[in-house]
Amino acid sequence: MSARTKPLPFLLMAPFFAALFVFWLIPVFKGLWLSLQSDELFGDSVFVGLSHYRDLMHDGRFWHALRNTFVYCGMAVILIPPFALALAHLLKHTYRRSRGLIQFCLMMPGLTPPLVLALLYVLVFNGPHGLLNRTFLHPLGLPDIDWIRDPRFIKASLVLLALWRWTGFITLLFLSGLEGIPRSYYDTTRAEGASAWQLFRHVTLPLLRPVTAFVAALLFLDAFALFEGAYVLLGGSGGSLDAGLLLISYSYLTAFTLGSFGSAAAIAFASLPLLMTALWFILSQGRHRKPAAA
Amino acid sequence: MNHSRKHISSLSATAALAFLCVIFAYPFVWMFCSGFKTDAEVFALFPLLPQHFDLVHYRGLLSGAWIPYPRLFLNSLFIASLETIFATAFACGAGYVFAKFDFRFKKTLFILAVAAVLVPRQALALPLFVWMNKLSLLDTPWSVILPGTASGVGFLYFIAVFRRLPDPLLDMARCEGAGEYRVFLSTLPLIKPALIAFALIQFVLCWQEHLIPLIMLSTQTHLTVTLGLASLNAGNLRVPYGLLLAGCTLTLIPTALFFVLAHRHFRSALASLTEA
Repeated sequence: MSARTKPLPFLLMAPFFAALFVFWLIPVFKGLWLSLQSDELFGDSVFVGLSHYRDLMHDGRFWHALRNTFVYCGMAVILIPPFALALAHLLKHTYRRSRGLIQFCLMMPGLTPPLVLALLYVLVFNGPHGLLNRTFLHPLGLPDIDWIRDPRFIKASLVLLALWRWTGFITLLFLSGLEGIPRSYYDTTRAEGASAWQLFRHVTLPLLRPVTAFVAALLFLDAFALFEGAYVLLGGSGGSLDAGLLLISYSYLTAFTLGSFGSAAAIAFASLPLLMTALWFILSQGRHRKPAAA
Repeated sequence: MNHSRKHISSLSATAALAFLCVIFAYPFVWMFCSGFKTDAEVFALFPLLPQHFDLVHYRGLLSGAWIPYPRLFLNSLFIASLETIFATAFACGAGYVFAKFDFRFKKTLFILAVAAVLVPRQALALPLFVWMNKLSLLDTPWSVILPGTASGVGFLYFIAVFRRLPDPLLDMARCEGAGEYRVFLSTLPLIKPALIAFALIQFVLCWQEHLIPLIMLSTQTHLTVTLGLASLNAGNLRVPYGLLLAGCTLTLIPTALFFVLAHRHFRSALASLTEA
């Protein structure tokens, strides 16, 4: 039976696309429209064209938030996957019986609301009693670092938070990927005299490429959309010297603290092309020998 | 010789991971124990374990003296469950059609769904707020649930899942006279691990969502549990840390339980996904 002769079960896909139209496509256009309006919230706003976008070009805080967001996204994408891949290798060599417990411990932060994670981070790792200061700085005789208020360390704190949250899940993903590679690939390559590093470089890495791209895209997207972490750590502002000001928080601040809806929408939409390009680039890296999905 | 070398490598790998687990899990143990302590005890390094299991914070939390905690917890459960069910069902149905059928505008719709993956909901928070206001759904659970029902990632995931299902299997069901909808239903038991894995991830993400509920919900009894905890933390209420941390501890129960129960399916679904 060819694909053409079957009657199409239209009702199966109708709900998904209905929801997509109403709760995604309409908001996209509404947002675009909003960003072309003056700042009054309801009723009296007038069409102002691209003036919000022009203002953004001269808005130092916007550029600052944009840079912060992309530095933060980039750090998360560069640091977390290699760490998780190393852990997945370790996990593969542990005793089978201990694996369940280890996986659960590593997954724990991922199952926790980021708000709770951020709270725990503040309470456990920061401050004079904090573990970060106690374990790394006191033994070396260095003074305490305020990991949240010191602008030099805010981004590091955010990245640590992301690392804590995502490592477990990504390790599991990599572990599944590793276990999916047939043993014979390794045996054949080893028989040809390849070293452990060469095995990793020429067998493991290429075969994990799709998983790696997926993981990178996930981290990038999550880092971009990060709100709770920054919200709790910094109390909804950008932190000292705006060192932790991210785009989503800036947009939120502009809309709900300053009440400037038009400008806030413009902030969100001005950053979208960059986000989409970056994600597209990451995802296209994972597509070896596979044709486009549609 | 070879055997003992393997033993050593297992031992060192386990030891290294155990060390990491301690770092990862310590704050959670501390949080759990702090739920039973007074403020002075919370920040003392020793002893970690509470001297006596005093339930005063839990009673204070559940009695609703600070925030209507049980109510907020149920709100969160309601929102996360419905969002998960809708998102999974919608994505599964649409993924099936896209994996097994050809029709006009398929490519256009596909590109639209991919675009939805690339533009996260958080970036649309503002227009969603205005839109929900127009639909007069603000401050209802639906304003949080509905925007999460169309999951672009889920759609792509289920296309991959159904692609791996051989076509002759579906034709067999058709030969027995099943209609197209019956054929679809008959495939569901075959992709059970994938369904459970996606539902698990979706549930965890909905349970953790913060920004959308924050802007949509305003009445205190309509909030989600994470919003409630945020208000406890931010307000000038001088809430005992033990109470706050007891509240945090309870939020872990649904997702941790779900993970433990679904762990087996989750692993097998991940394995099949990474092969695809």
